[in-house]
Parts: sequence; C-alpha cells; structure tokens
Amino acid sequence: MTITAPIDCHSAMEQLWDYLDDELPPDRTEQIHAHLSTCTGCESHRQFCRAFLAQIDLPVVSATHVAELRDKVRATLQRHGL
Amino acid sequence: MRTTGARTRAAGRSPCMVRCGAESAPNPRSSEGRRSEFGRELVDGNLSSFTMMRPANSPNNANSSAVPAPDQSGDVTTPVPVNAAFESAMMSCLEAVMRYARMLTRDFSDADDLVQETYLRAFRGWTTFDMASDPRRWLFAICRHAFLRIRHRELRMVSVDEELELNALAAVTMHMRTVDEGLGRVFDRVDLGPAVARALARLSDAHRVIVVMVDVDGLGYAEAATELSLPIGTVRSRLFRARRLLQQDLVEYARDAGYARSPLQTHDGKAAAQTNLGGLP
Repeated sequence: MTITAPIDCHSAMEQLWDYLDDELPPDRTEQIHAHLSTCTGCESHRQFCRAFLAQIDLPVVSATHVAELRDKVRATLQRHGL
Repeated sequence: MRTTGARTRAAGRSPCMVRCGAESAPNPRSSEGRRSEFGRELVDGNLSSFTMMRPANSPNNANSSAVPAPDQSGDVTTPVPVNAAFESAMMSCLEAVMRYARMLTRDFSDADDLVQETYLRAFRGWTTFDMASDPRRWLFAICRHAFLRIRHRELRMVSVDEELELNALAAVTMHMRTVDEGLGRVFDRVDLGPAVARALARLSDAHRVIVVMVDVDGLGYAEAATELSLPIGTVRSRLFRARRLLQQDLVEYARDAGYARSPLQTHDGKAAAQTNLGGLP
C-alpha cells in the first residue's frame, strides 16, 4: 500500500486543472484525490470546474448553412478531381 | 488514471455528435462576397493552386466509380473517378468540421474557407487515411493545422504577463462568489451552449486555440505545445487563463439571465459556510 503525504487546499487547488486534465504524475494525482475525498470545499470547486469543462462544446450551426457549404465543398472537390 | 478531464470527454464523443437547430450568430457577410485576409491566404495559398495527385493504384481507389465531370468550360467531357469511400467517410463529418472551424476562426466566412481547405487537403491526403481510425478526428487535425499555418506567428507571441499567470486560485475565488450568489451549480443545471460560443469568440486567438486543442480535441499539454512550438508552461498558463475568462463570462451571463439568487435566500443563511473552501482567500 502506498502512503501519500497529505497536501493542503492551496496546493490542491493550484494543481486542480492539471489533475482534471490528467497531466500529473500518479503520486501527485493520488495526493489530490485523497485531499478531495476529505475536503468538501475543494471537492465543491472540483465539481464546479468539471461541470464547466462539460459545457465547452462546438458551436451550433444551422442545417441550411451546412447544406449550402456541403454543396460548395462537393463542387470544389469535383473541380479538383473527385 | 484519467479523472474527469478534457481528453476523456473529447474521446468519448460520438464522431458526429452535433447540436442542431438555431444559428449561433448572424453571418454578417457571405463567404462568396468580401473575403477576409485569412480567407485570401487560404485561397491564394492553396485552393487556387491545388492539384490532385493520387496514385492510380491507391487502395482507397478500390471504391471508386467513374462519372462525367465538367471541364473548364462547364461541358461534361471526360470521366474521372469518384471515390465513394471518401464521400461516405468524410462528407458525413462536414457539419462537425464546420462547427470546429467556427470555433477556431470566430468568423463564419473564414470558417467556410477553412472547411473547404480542410476537405481539399483531406482529399489530397486521402491515401494516407487509416480507414480504421476516426474520420472526424483526422479532419479536425487537418483543419487545425491549416488554421495554425495561417495564424502561427501571432499564436507564438507570448506576453510576460501570460507566462506568469497560473491563476488557479483566482478561479477558486470566483467560484466562492458564485456560490454566494446561488450560482455554484449553474454549469450542472443550465445548458450554456450559445453563451459558451460567444464567450469563446471573445477570447484571443492565442487563448481560444488552446481551449480547442485541449478541451475539444483532447490533446495533452505537451502535444499542444509541440504543435504550437511553445513552451509547455505557456500552454498551461494560456489554458488556465482562458478557462478563467470563460468561467467569468459564463457566470456573468447566468447572472444577467436571472439564474442567480440573492445571498439572503441561500440555504437557510448558510452561504458563508458554503463558500469556505478550506480557508482559501
């Protein structure tokens, strides 16, 4: 069993994005995971950031514009040998 | 161990998962009309000089059929191969590529030019496409590279402030305020899609492209740094700054839209306790 040294809120929050992006080494990931499991304040912020990341998605486009561009792309490709 | 981050989300999306419906913003100009500098660079650099070079024995040509194609005068004269596999694999992703290009460029006309450039490059490199791989991700990479080729110099410019900004704690402080206002769960409860698009458009190219690369494409910091020829620390600081700005923008949108509630109405007056994130400032 690996025993990880505890870290404080400041350190955990400084590395939260790296943690969420899976950019930390395993031992550091484990430290933050352990901190989050015992600190409701930091866990609340993790949930806030996680929900924020889930909102980032590609923008909406209209079906009409998609159809128009598809025709243009197809015409361009045909001019170039498709 | 992957926790909850961007790459897991990006990899988990269906190849052509799209939101359909309303336009995100009106298009002020047609892609057939006035062309931006970005569009001219794409067209002058590539589309107008594009020449198809495909090996006749390409394995992808196995699905080709022959149809008449118009010559320069518009007359139907000589048959050329039509690659049914290209049509099938690539054209079905056009909407996703279009959305991706809009996220990168912010400008609808530039995005349309970028999509055309993407498909020309894809067609030109079709023999290198691994049919077992995800066509959407392949097209996104082509699209991103075409965009970066044009914008590379400005994306590489680094300000001193940016190098120093690793302000994760500023995001914590902002979160504390949102909890006070009753907006602590707003990202869970409200679809902010249109607001996200507007907030992304307000970011600089240098910040937005890193959000796209990490949060949409699922690239790691090192991969993004390599593609952009930037130090990994710059990628991190830009990403964190971009996310903080996006969070601020979205919280402001939610507040203006009336999702906030008065601090006096929060959970039996326990707002102060909720905002105590481990004693952080």
